[in-house]
Amino acid sequence: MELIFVQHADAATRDIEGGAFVPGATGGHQAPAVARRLGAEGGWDALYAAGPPAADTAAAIGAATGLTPRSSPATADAVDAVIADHPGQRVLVCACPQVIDEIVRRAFGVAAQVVRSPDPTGITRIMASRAGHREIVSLNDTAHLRVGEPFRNIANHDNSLNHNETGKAQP
Amino acid sequence: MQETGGLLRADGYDAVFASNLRRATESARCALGPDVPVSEVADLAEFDRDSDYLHYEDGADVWQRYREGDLSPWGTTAEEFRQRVVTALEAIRIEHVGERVVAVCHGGVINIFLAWILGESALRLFAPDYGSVSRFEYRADAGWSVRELNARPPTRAPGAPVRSVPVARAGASWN
Repeated sequence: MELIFVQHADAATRDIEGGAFVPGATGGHQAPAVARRLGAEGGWDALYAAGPPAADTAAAIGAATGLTPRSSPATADAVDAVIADHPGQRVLVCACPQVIDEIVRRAFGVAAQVVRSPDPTGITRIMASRAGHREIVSLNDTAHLRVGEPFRNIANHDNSLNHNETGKAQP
Repeated sequence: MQETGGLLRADGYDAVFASNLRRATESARCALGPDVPVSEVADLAEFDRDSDYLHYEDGADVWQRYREGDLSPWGTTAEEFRQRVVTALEAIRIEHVGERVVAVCHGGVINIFLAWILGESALRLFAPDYGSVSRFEYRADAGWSVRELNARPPTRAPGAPVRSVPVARAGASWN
């Protein structure tokens, strides 16, 4: 199966009155951007939100993909149950960076953190089998925050750079 | 490659390097255009630089030797390959402190650099797609780290499964 982890949007913080997690100051554009990307890609079979901070990002992706987010514990071990339940399918999991890092470290067989600065809504693709095989396909892919249709017109692009015609970044 | 160029321009860059193998230098020019200066670095070339080119996807038995860490069919060793790639990239880093540098190279080169960062001896940890972008960052207080692997502009056909070329576990069933 193909398992796609999406790190939840930036600075999800708990709303004091409502008790809900809400996007931070820079997170408002990120979930729609990744949702447009994944919606355009299509072909998904299921969508999970691993923990409350991932709920808003999962909801945005659900609206773009037509899937209803299911709740899942925010642990790496819970991912094994997702893999067991979806043989041969393509499944999206919105999660916190700690869970994604644990999955990636297990797949690479390393003890140390792999991505030092994971990006909000970064996409990590893994091929996985019920027999325990794991293969990293991509890691922390944030192309949707940087370029291209259908991801244009992203307001308040906090990861943007100004460029001259040669492509050299301007401060 | 034009879409890849769009991604590189969006990120911005201060210098462009490429392996001196034609498939790398031509990819650099296809991605960024003929007017962008590209510095060729022989030590960024793939381990097969002295052999006839054979597509990884062709699945020849010789690639199983590579997956097992044996580069003797290409007249080199994993340690020699690792040493020249890391030395080349470290030299670029030292010359471009604080800058963003593009290095157009090869799947084996990217993998062995990744493995070196992670402290692993494996030759291949993932299967970079053609034209994909992998980003690494260096901090003086913490050294090298991975920022992104195998990022692609959004050109994949809707619903198309990802390409999966076995890394080390030939025959794995993805169910």
